[in-house]
Amino acid sequence: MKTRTVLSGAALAAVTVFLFGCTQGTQGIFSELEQEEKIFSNNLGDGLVAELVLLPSSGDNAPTYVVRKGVRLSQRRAVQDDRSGEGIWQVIQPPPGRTGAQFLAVTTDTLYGVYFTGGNSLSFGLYEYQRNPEANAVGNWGENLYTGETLDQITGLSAVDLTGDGAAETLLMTAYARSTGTSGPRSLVVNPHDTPRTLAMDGGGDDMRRAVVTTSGPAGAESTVWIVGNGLQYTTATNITSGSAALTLAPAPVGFSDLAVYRVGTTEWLIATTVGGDIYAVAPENADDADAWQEVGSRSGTSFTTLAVVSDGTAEGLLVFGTGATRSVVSRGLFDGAFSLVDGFPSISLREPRGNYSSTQIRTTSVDRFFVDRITPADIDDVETLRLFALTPNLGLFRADDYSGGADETWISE
Amino acid sequence: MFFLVHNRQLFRAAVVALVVFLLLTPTLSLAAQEQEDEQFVPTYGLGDQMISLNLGLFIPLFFSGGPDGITATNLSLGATGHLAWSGYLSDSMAVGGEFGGMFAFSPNSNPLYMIPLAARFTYIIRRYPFEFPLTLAGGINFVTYNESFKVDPILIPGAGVYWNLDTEWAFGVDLRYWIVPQLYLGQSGISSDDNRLGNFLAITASVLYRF
Repeated sequence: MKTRTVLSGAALAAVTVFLFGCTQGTQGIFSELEQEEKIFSNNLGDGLVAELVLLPSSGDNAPTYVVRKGVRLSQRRAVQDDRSGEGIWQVIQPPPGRTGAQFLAVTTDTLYGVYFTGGNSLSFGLYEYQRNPEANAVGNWGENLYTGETLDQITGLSAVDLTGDGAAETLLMTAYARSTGTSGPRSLVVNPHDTPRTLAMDGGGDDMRRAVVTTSGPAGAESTVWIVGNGLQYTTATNITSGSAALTLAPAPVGFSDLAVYRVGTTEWLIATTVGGDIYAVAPENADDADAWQEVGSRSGTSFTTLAVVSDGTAEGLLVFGTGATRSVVSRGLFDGAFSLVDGFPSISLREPRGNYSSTQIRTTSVDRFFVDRITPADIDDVETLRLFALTPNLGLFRADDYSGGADETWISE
Repeated sequence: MFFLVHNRQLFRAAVVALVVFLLLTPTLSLAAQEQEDEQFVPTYGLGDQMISLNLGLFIPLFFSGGPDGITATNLSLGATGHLAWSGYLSDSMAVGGEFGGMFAFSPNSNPLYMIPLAARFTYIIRRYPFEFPLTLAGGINFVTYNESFKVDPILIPGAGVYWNLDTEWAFGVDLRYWIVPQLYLGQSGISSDDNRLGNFLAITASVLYRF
């Protein structure tokens, strides 16, 4: 009888442990369903969305978003005073003879695109987008603008603002010519659309993911351009505009994945992510010192792919961090990062986004890149708002309007 | 002559009567047999078994037990099915088990799957050729949604109407109420604020075989 009682108790305990122990997730399933709301879905669809740029208004054309989804470009109006009818995505046809799009960048009010031709003889061209005079209609591409050294591969395109007027006026391109080796050392081509100048890069060079500018830099540089790729290379703005010195490889943290600039008044910080789940910060003038990079946040079991500054200018702002999978870590979705200064140095505390984030598919996939559209109000009395986009490798494009890390954030699929 | 005529009429009458008798005899015989059949009611007992297959609609009703009281599930109309086996204890009672599943979709087309594995008790009210099984199933329910997974207890009371084709086969409709208490006791960092009682209705067509 005693044995039977013990066995019954053990069985009951086993069932209890089984019932309440087998739980996976961050929120109750029924509770999550109870709160789920249908998100609006535009016509862009699933798939890789690799780049997003904003074309400012021009003539009868409203501000326009352009995305590269796979090798195809699409555009849609980014109506900033009426968010209810922003239109659908329209496909932009490639230049004649070209197969697909590879990179995008906007300088001031002009969109440039790198297109390739497939087949046995891969070739590339740099094109300027001619907007359609008819309001919000799709335009077309002009002639190939690149007339410099023959290139076998273009590996990155970005635009930077070296004058500090808020508009990127300088186009940068990383590329290699196979004639100098099996794949060739990467070099940085400045203004490839106009009068290209080529700067050598440190080591074997790097593919450019993005370029950012700080008003200070190592060795007392007044203004520095940072080329973000698999590593981090930099040079002075002066060198970009007129010099010829090679770029320098910065001692970025191990597993470096992306970089952003956070500004507090006139002070700037370089914030870097790593695939190991760490976040580092350094003052631009000290970025050439490996010991100056300090860990300011981390998340175990997470691989950070990218980051973006959502709000800065104050000692307490907001960043967002995208995650992805590596060979050893599977992480998905994104995190909010609350920025603060502790003893004058940045500190970032991470948390999962709130609002409808947990019920949208964005939490189930990697985020490769963000795009922040700062919307300046027409009326000076209105506050600036922003629109945050998250670019994913398989589920398309998501956006959240007025993103501030609050509980009422709404992610919408594009 | 009269005699002859009379005899001829009698003969005709006899022939007609014989024909009528011969025609009516099988009919009367069938009627008697049918009467006998109506009196035959199959019974089942210890050692007899039945299996049934159900397929049908899954209607999400509501969640309760949360801070907002009774709330909509936000799930679409779904589909469900289960396979059940029971052994008769007597003509009106059977015990066994069942394995089933359901799916329905959230507002963003994310599928919710629930797979119950349960023991069942059946009490059968018989009105031949119909029978009305009342069932109570209880067990565990595997729930998965997006990246989340949970094992919950489940209780499924139900009632059905079946028509017996013969002693082996029956067809019917079942109405079953799924009661799924989803309880979090702080595991995986999920707050007990997320505890909910799931209420669902399954309407299924069934085919039942006894052996």
